Amino acid sequence: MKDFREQNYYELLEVTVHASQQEIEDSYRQARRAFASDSVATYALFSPEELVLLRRRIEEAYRVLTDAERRRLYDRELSRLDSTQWPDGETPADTKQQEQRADEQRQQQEQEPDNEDQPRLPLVESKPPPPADEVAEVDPVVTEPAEPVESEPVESEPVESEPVESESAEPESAEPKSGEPKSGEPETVVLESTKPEPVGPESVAPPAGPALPRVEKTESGPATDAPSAGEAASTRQEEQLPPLPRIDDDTPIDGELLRRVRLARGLELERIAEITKISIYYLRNLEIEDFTNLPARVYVRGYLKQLCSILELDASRIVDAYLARLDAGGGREGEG
Amino acid sequence: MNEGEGSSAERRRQRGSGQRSERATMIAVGGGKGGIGKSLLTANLGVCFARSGKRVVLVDADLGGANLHTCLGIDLPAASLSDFVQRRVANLEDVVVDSGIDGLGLISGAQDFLGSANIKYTQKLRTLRQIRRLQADVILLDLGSGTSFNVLDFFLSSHLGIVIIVPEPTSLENSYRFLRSAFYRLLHHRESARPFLEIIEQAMLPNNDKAIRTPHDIIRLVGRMDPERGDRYRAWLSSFRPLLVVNQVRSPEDAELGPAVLLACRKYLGIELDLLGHIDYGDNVWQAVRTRTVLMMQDVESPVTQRIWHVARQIEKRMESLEVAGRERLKL
Repeated sequence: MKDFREQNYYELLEVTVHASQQEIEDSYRQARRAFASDSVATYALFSPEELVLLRRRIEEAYRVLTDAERRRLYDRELSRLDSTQWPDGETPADTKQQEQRADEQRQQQEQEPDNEDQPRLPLVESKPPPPADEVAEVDPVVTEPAEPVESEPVESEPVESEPVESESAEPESAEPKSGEPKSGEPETVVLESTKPEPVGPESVAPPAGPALPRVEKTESGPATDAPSAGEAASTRQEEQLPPLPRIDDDTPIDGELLRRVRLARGLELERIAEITKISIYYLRNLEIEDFTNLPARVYVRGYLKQLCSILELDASRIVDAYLARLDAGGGREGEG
Repeated sequence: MNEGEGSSAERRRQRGSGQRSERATMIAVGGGKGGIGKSLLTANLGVCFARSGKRVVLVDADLGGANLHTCLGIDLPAASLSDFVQRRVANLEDVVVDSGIDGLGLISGAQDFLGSANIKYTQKLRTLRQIRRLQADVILLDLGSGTSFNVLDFFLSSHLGIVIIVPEPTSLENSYRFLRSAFYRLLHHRESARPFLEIIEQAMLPNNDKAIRTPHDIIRLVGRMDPERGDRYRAWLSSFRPLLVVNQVRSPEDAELGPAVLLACRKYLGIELDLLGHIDYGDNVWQAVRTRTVLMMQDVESPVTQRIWHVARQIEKRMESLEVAGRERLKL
C-alpha cells in the first residue's frame, strides 16, 4: 500500500488494470462518498488540504479511466514503466499482458486511429473521443489550471471539479458539483467542442507515470528545456525534476531553499496557493525573501508551517530558522 | 461420531500434550474510545462462541474500568485479575469464575488498583503469558479505552484484534489514533536498532517535529536510511490487519461507514482493516443490561442479535484461517 500521493489512477480507485467501466464507476462513487468533506470516515485523518488533493486525484482518475481513449493512452504510459512500480498484487505477468495489450493497441491505432475501444465502454460512446493532446494534461494533480478553490474546503461539496464531459456518462455525478471555475477549464471546453487534428500517439505528451503523480510539468521551473514531444516526454517529468536539496546543519534555510524543494516536489506556486489559500504574492515573496512585502510575523509563521507540510519538510527545522532570517532583516532588502 | 470419542478428543484438546500448552485463540476487543459497546459486544460474542460449543473465557482487561461482569448480569465476583496481578493468586486459572452460562468463564477485571492502566511491564508479561495458557478454545479480552502501552500490548499479543467504532467523529478520531499507535508500538517491539527506534518514538508523539503523521512517513524515512528495513516495515504494515465492527448503527448511511472507513484507513494510514460487519442500535441492548440479562440469551430474534451472530460467524471464519495459516502474533 502506497501513500495516496504515489498511487496511479488504478490504485487510487482501487481497481485492477482490467476493470470494467462499471467497476470503475462503482469504485469512484464509493470513494467519492468516503472522501466527501462531510464524511465521518475521514475525520481526524486527512487534513483539509490532503482531502482536497485526494479528491482531485480521484476525480482525475475517474475522468481518465472512464474515457476509452485517455485510458488507453494512460495504460500505455503505465505499461512503459518498470514493473516494480506496479501496485501490490499486480504481477509482472499482468504488466506484461498489459504491455502486450498496449502494444496491440498501439499497432491498431496506427492503422485506424479513431476507431477502437469504443465497444468496451458503452457508457461513454456518445462522447467524442478526447483530443489526444488532452491526455498530456490529465495526470499530475497539479497540471490543471489553478481553479479558484472554495474558501472553506470543509464545507465544500464532495467533489470540486466535476467534468462536464461525464454528464453524459453519469448524470447523477453532475449534481454535487460546486461549479466549475469561470476561469476557463480548457479541458472540458476543448473536449466538448473541438476535436483538434489528430496527433500521432507518439507525439503525445503522456500522463505522468504512477510513481510520481504529484509531479507536474514545471513550466516555471528551471528544468523545462526538455523535448516537448515524443518518447522523451514520457519520462521527462521524472527526469526533469531537480533533485531534492540536501538539508543538513549547514544548509541555509532561506527562500531559495524553499524554492528548490518546491521545484523538486514538482509543485507550482499557483498550486500551493490553491491548496493552502495563501496568496501567491506572499508565497513568491517568501521565496524571493522580499520581507518588506510579507504580512505580520505571526502569519508568516503559519504560512511556513503550511508550506512545510506540503513540501514535506521538517517544520521544526525550517520555520524558526526562516523566521530568524526574517528577524535579522536579511533577505532581498538587506542583501540588495 | 459417538460421544465418548468426542469428549476424549475434547479432553485431549483441553489438557493438551503438555498441560500448559497454548491452545486458545486470543481475541482482543478494543477501539480507543470508551462507551462504544466494547464490553457488551465482548460478552455477547462470548455467548455466541460458547453456544457453538467452544470453551470460552472472557477476560476483563479494562484495568480500572472493569464492568464485564455487569454485562453478563452477574455480581462482581470475589476473585479478579487483581488477585493474580498482585500475586495473591499464583495461577490465573484460579480466578476464572462461572458466568452462569454454559461454557463461558469470566476473569473479572481489576477493581482496586488505581491508575492500573500502568501495571508494571513484568506484571504485564506474566499476565499475558498466563492468559495465553488458559484452558479454553477462545479467550476474549475486553480492553480498556485509550492508547496506553498496556492496552496496545494486549491488543498486539492477541491472535485477532477487533476495533469497534460507532458512527461518531469522536469514535473515529480515537480509533484512528489507536490503530496508528498500535502499529507504531508493533514496530517498536520488532525493531531493536537505536536510530530506527528513535524515529518510531518520534512518530508516537503527536505533532512530532519530524512531521511523521502516518506509517507511510515512517517507512519513507526508514527506507531512505535502510531500504531493506523499509521493505520489512512495509511487509509488517500489510500483515497488520485488525478487524473492524461498526456498532450502534441507526441509519442506512451509518451502515455504509464500514466500507468508507476501510477505504480511508487504507488510503491514509496504509492499514488494511477487515470488516466483520455492523451491529444495529437497539433499545433491547441497554434494556438487557438494565434487567441484568444477556441479550444473546434473551432476545434471540432481534436484528441486533442477528447481527451479533453474523459478526461471531465472521470471527469464527478468521479463526479457522488462523489455524491453517499458523498463528503469528506479537510475542512479548
